[in-house]
Amino acid sequence: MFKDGVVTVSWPNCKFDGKEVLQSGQLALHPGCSVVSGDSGIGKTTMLRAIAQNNSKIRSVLVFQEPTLLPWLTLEENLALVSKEHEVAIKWLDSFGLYNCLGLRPGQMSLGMQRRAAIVRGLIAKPDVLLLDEPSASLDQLNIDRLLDCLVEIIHSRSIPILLVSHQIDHFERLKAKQFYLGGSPAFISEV
Amino acid sequence: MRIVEACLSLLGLLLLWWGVSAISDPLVLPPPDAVFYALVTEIGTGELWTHLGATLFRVVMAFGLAWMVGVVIGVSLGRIKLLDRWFWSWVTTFLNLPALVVIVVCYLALGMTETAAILAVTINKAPLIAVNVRDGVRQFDPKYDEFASNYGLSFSQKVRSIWIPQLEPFLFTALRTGLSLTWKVILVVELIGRSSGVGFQIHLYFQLFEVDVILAYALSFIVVMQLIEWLCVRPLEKYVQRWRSDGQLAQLQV
Repeated sequence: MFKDGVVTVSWPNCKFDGKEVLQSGQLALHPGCSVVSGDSGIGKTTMLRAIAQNNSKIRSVLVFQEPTLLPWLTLEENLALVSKEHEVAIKWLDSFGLYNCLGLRPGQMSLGMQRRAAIVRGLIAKPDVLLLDEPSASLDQLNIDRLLDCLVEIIHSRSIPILLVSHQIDHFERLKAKQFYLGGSPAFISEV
Repeated sequence: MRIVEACLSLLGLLLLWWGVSAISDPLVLPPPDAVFYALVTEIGTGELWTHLGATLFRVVMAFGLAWMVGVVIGVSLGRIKLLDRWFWSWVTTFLNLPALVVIVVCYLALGMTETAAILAVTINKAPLIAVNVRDGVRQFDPKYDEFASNYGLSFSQKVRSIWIPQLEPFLFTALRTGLSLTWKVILVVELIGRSSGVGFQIHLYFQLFEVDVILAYALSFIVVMQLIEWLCVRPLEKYVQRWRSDGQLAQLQV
């Protein structure tokens, strides 16, 4: 649901093997970054998946923790699969420092590059809200800094809400993001 | 190096053949030179090309049809659990149906025609392709399906960019095993009910008890199948699966 640039997303109760693991909830996301933290395994990824599946009126794009770029296609072909706007893709690749990787396949790129490329793919799909699952996981400090630069670039040039989940919230302090916490059993969301 | 080893190995097989034929009845197992002479004679008369061409045409037609039918069945059973529950037993039934039975039934139903011959091989080989493809579909990585659904990819995009690349190893296995088995069944089809082809010639020279010509025809078709493997299948496989070696240490150029 949209109102004054604010996107409200909701999700239902989620069960795993018959046991409720995540309580239903909703979040009003303002343009900019919102971070959901919580312990590993608490249900952060489940929440993102539920948001991606449950809000059919909103175009939400989920960028998975594992980049899921198709390994048999070059980066250019991967991007062309979700958008025909080649110029836009080039612009984002350039600002994410990936322009030279256009002809490379994911297996020829580092994990940090693949993560950023996956975010570019998410962006050019023109989402109303961008969902990022543990974008800093398994990255070294240099790559985390590059990733944060990219997120700052998105926040400045596209006024869309970004909802990211991470169990390492300190990585994202620089973004001055609105913070939420997912905890409890079954897990529920609360504002920090 | 691999080619040298393969050539040396084949040379060893040739020597073994020579040795065994030297101590056995030459009418039953003629030596390689006699078979080579028969081959040259058949090439000289033009007979070899005519019959080789007829068999190759049937192999291509029958295997092409079996391939299409098998892929459609395999993908359907692999993706739709309801179809799999209902029709998997049909596939295994046809998989275990002897080729000879299918050939005889097709000839009885449609007459001794080219259509019957090709249809019989198609019915016999499609289940083999279907089994391979179904196995491949069941091993699809769910993360790519989730990506396709999340980004709203069209059906044709999913087939072209996600399904086929994941199916490639299974399609190549099906291609290899299917082709090698198809031409053997084609020989039976020709032996029973056609008046051309390698199978027909083998039947003819069996009645004349000329084993050297029989072996000449068999060898010539083995050479054709090897050429298909080395000149078509392998280069194609190497090209489409080039991404699999990405990031491997062997690729690193220091």
